[in-house]
Amino acid sequence: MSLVVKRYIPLAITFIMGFIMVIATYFLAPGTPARDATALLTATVDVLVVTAGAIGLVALLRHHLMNINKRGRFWQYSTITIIAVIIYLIIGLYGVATHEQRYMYASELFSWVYSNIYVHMDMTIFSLLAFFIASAAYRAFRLRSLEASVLLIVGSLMLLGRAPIGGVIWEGFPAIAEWLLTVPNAAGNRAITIGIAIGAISLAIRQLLGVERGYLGPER
Amino acid sequence: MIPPNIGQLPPELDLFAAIFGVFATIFIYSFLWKENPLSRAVEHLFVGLAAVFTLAFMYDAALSQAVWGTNRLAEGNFIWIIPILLSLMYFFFFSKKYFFLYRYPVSIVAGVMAGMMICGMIQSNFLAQIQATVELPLVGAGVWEGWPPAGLNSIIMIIGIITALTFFFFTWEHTGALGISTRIGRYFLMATFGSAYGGTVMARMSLFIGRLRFLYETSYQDWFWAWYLVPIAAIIVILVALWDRSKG
Repeated sequence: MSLVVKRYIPLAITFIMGFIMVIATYFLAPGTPARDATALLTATVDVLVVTAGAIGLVALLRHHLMNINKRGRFWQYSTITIIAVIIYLIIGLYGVATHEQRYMYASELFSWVYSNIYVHMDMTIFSLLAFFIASAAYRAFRLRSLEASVLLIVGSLMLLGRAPIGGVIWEGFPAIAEWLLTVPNAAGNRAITIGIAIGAISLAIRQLLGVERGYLGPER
Repeated sequence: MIPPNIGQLPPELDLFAAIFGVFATIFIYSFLWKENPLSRAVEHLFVGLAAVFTLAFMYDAALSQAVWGTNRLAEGNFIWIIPILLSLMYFFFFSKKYFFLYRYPVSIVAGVMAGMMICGMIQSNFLAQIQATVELPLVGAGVWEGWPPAGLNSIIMIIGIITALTFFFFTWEHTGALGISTRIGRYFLMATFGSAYGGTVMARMSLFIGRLRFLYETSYQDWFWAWYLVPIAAIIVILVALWDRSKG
């Protein structure tokens, strides 16, 4: 197949789609039919993205099936992942088939698994970071330089100000934490946000102009 | 014909939820001692459920857009078959011969997202941030009253924003006045990271406290308390870890 069909047409589609979105935002008045038509484009993207999620699920299943097939490292645990995916998917699709609203979330059993199984594991796994962050803090917060000292002092004051025990020790800690959050933290965050914006805009322009082509995948 | 729905779930499932919650919590926390078969098993279960949960979230959003929304496929607007067919082209990802067809839906998503990102970033992350900085109060009634005065806070913020921005400026070498500015900016950035650290620790600690409260407070019909199972789960973890070690 020619290079035009394989690479140039997708690059042209990317440029046209991005150009339409920018033009629609800055040159078309809200409420006009042309502007509403671009809203359909974003809705189309919502539909397209769900299949990308399905690809992720298929890739996950494929990885674990290959692991089982090759008797790879921890292959026994791969069976747990596959069984969990299949059973939860059946529950969700059964909910879609049986419920009037036709959504997975509308299914009582699907929501029950989420609230009573998934959430337990989710909260516990994410709370593990409380322990690891303590050891990370020991390494990061040593008084080796003035910058590290600022990090240590602000981090400690934030902890003392946010934890109830800080206010019990000295009632000024919550006020200091609030000031740190709303003034120096806001200043640094604002600079970072502006930097992110400039970086993201330049990346998006590079992508629209075809300079950045990583999203098209490998050359095949 | 729509088959009958499961409807109200039996209350006995709450007992199962409590039992599972205790074992899952203890098995995951056993990772802090050492990685063992039980922590690995729960992690793999979590990955499987998380994948389907994420897909369900996106699937429901897509259905509400393409099928069940106003003037969509369910109401006879068949043009919405096009995005569905386009989305199926994603599956050419697994084909070596027709992989290029996978690029078509990807290029639509990439283009629309890039366009939205340009507009959104300019508005909310760039102009709005500059506008909020310009609007900081420096003069006026009550600006220099109280402690700390709002005017002083404004000056600190303006200095912080400008100096922190110069830290990301790599066109010239950070020497002289620019070097001083970037050094001050670095302190503001460190203060930001310190605040982020404090916030993260508090968020994770509140999750941990939530798990402890779950273990202590969960009960089923006043005869079963979740914490009854904590020592049993701990013993199981120790036995399985010792068995795993004996296997080498």
